[in-house]
Amino acid sequence: MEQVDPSSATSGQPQQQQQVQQPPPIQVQPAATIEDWKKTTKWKPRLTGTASGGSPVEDVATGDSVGLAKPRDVWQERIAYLLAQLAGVNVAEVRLGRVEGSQQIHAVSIALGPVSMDVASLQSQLGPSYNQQQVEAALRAASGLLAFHAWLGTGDLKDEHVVADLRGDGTVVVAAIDFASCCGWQPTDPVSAPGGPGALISQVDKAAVQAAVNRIEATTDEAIGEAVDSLPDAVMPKADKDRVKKGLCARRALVKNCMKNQGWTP
Amino acid sequence: MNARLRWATVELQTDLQHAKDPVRLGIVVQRTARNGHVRTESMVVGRVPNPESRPSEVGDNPALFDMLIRWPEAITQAVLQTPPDKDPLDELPKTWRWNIYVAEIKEKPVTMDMSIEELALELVHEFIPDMQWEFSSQIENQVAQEFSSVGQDVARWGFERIMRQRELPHQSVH
Repeated sequence: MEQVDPSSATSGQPQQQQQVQQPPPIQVQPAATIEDWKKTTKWKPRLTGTASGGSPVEDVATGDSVGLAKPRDVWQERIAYLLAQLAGVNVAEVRLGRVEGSQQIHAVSIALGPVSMDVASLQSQLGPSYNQQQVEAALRAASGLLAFHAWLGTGDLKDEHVVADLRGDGTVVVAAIDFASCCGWQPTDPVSAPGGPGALISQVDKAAVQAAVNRIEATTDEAIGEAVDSLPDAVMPKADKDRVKKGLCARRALVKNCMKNQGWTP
Repeated sequence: MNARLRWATVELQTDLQHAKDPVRLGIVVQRTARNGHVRTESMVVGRVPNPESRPSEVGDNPALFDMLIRWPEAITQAVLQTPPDKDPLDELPKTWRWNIYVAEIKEKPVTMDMSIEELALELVHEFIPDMQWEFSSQIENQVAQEFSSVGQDVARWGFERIMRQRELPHQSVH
């Protein structure tokens, strides 16, 4: 696996910042609006044995939205969703919520679309109507996620963690889910190219990866700080916030060479 | 000879973001008898929408409709492709967990007096009582699909049953 050492990269402002349009401010859910959720009977997949320990829930206010509430790795799931908006890549929405009046804050994962599933299951469940060309095009459009995974140091990368939104008009949009293992590094650790998911690595669009690299490099210290600091201390201890902010700022300049060494950028 | 009957219930949620009431689709039944060898019979019984008279509760997403048309066949394939050292019913929820999902797995001891088809009919009738679950003939290793009217409607749902058997050496089953 190619690695890029922090000592070999330039620090401070990214080299291509002038060429990249500054991303819009992210929509940060204020801590005060942590939503209330309850167990749902509307969608109840049997999830015993899954690593996340998630359970299906619906929002108390309307009973309309459903999601998967996870009690573990809460800040990792939420920060990945916030940072994805800075990097211009698709990560399925993750909200913060309390379940059944519990004081513990959960990460509530929202489905990418009304009809969606992981790409590992697509072919077997769609059968003859599986449109390989269309799915591959969606994967290529989403391949900037590889740069994002390098930035966050995501582990457990597999096709089950890539989801497809099968839209009513026949189009397909791909996003990443499950960032429980991200941001486990120390700020000075080298940046490694992701070893998966195979579905994305087999469909690299160099322009899409380059676009994500550019967006990551253009992300300011302030934007990173705003995303990290939006998480309640009860979810993300201050020591982790300091480590992650420092690491994200150091790593953003290393992603470029990492992607280049893999041959994933032009 | 005693046997163990396990069954999984399969449901549909048409909108994973703004959920509606789920739609019950059917069951996957598995009877395992041990007598030197392990003989496992599996049967998928459930309903599929009629393309000519689509039920409104299945929504209008074309990809989801395609999945609904073939879910019994796709689950049967998944059961058949399960490695012999794993229980198919325990493996199904790992992939069937999105719009079409395995909701529950139940089990009970049974005797071999009744056929797997009779057992499956009893269970599916209990799970989806508003369908007419009457099969016209015995089946063995084949797919049967029939359409059933609900009330005075033109048949909106058909029902499908797929039975498969596999016999495995005793030691290969855990």
